[in-house]
Amino acid sequence: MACVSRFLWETLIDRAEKWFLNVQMIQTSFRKLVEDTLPKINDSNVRLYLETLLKIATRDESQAADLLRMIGREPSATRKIAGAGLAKTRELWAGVIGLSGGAVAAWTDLQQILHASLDGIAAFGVANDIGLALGLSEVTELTLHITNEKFVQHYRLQELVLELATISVLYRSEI
Amino acid sequence: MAGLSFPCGLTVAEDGTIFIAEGGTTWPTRPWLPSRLLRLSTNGKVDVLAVEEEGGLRGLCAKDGFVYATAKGDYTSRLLKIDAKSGERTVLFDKMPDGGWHEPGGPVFGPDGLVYFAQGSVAQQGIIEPAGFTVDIARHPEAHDVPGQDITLTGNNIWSYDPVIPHSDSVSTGAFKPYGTPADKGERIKGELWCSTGVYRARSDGTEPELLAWGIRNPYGLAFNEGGELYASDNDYEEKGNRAVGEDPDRVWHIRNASKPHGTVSVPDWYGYPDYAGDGLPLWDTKHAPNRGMQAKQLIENPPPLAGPAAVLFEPHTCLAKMDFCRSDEFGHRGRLFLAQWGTLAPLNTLRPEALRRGFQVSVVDVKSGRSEPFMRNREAGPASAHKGNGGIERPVDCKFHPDGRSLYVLDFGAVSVRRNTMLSFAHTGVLWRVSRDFYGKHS
Repeated sequence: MACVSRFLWETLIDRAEKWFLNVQMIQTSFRKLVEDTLPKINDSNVRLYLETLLKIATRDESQAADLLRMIGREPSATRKIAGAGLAKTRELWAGVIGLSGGAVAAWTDLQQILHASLDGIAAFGVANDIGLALGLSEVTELTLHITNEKFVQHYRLQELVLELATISVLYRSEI
Repeated sequence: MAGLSFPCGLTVAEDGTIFIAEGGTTWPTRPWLPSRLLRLSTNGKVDVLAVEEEGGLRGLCAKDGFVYATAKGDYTSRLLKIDAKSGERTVLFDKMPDGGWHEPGGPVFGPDGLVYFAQGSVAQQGIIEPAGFTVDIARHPEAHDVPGQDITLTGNNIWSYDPVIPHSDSVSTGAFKPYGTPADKGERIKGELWCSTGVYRARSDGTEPELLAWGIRNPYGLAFNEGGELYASDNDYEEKGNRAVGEDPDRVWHIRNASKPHGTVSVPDWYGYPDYAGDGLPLWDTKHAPNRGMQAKQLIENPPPLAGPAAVLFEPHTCLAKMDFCRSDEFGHRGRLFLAQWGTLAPLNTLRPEALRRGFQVSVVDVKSGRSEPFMRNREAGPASAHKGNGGIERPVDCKFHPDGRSLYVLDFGAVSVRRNTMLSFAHTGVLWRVSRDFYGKHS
């Protein structure tokens, strides 16, 4: 006996698809931000960390696309482009913050990665709950792993941003 | 000289030029300021000789036109050689395991012309624990201690709540392992030359490094006496967390292997970290039962022989820092060790009220008898900022004699606010003091 009509199920899947496309866009934006920030960083330790972050972000971007396949839908090329565009907008915004707040470019980009990281946690976190709500264990397992990993990354990113803040804002040193 | 930002070490060159290291990122790690090597010339002019881009300058010594510096970095600490005129920098070593709590120690030159340096422990209490305010596991999640000899572990791991993972259960962590990695009973860990808690020496060009000792928790100060004997300062365990230790004395160790010819130390001496207190008792002895947290259990199944006893013991939580032996009759106290005691971190590291005012002074120490007495301190115990309007010293971090033997320079780290769950350090509050002896024999 089906407790949910086919129509309602398809409606729920349609709505999940919309969110997963959102996840894809946000993750693309995060990956693109990390990719664009890397060449601006001089500090070898920070560079090393961002290189690791980029590898994970690229993997997560691919897995965001897998989320759509898990519900029988296709990832969107348009959302990828939109994600890259979103990253560029954030970089522009970082430039505005840099100009108005007097911080160096690389640090403001790093700060934008921190914001984008939080968006990513929320996006995958919601996808995790959608997986639970629809009874899709594959979705839940994948997003739970990514969300937890993103929390760890976020904590470290936050420390990096705060640690480098004074040297960037007060001393205008490149990082 | 005032307005220094987080100064961590000084040295006085043969010609009287004074060099001061500003740590950049210190205790705690934020804020991060430029880590500068300042030069105070004999004509009174102050300039910046170099800026250590990777941050973390700590100890200094000057010899033959170069300044040698230890620096704390990412996962490893460095020993640097900096041209005292041009500021040109050479990295002699970048291999001391760090990324955790404690500091690179020294450097100091021995009578044999070798440079001696050290590295403190990565874990605060023998096992990495979460401690968000100094961000060790956030910035360096893979950091862990490294032993100086082959050891076998007991597998006495500790459980702690992982603060960075949502939906987290407690995680198990073992000794000499990164946070969240348990050790197995009977697991063997290979000893390495570049261990944590080690004291090393090498030629001044960075060749032929040799490990003399390990098992010293935080060997920040190194000094040779006129007899050519090497001593190291060391700090007590903290009374907090899942491996808490009560009433562990601060101590000065005699590094006996330093008296052996270079290249002949086949087995480094072991001074007890991570299992023994400064008094030679195991951390699980009832005398070291903590009044908060879980008492420590044994971590090394087959401990090497202890190299102690300590030359000098101090009250817990005075925080021993850098030091120098007096070689001058003119100054007085010839042969005695002058030791900066940075001052307590209570109530952060212990809740015992008697620890709240310990340290904040320079002591004069007889390393042969083990006796010590205050040499320079405020009228009232504690840092000057605790007694508004009186002035005085905050947290002495280093003291070095001028080569002419007439003056002792005392480097004051500056103002630090310690609370029960965090500490805050304030830039531009550090001071360089000079103490001289007048015609009547009084020091001022």
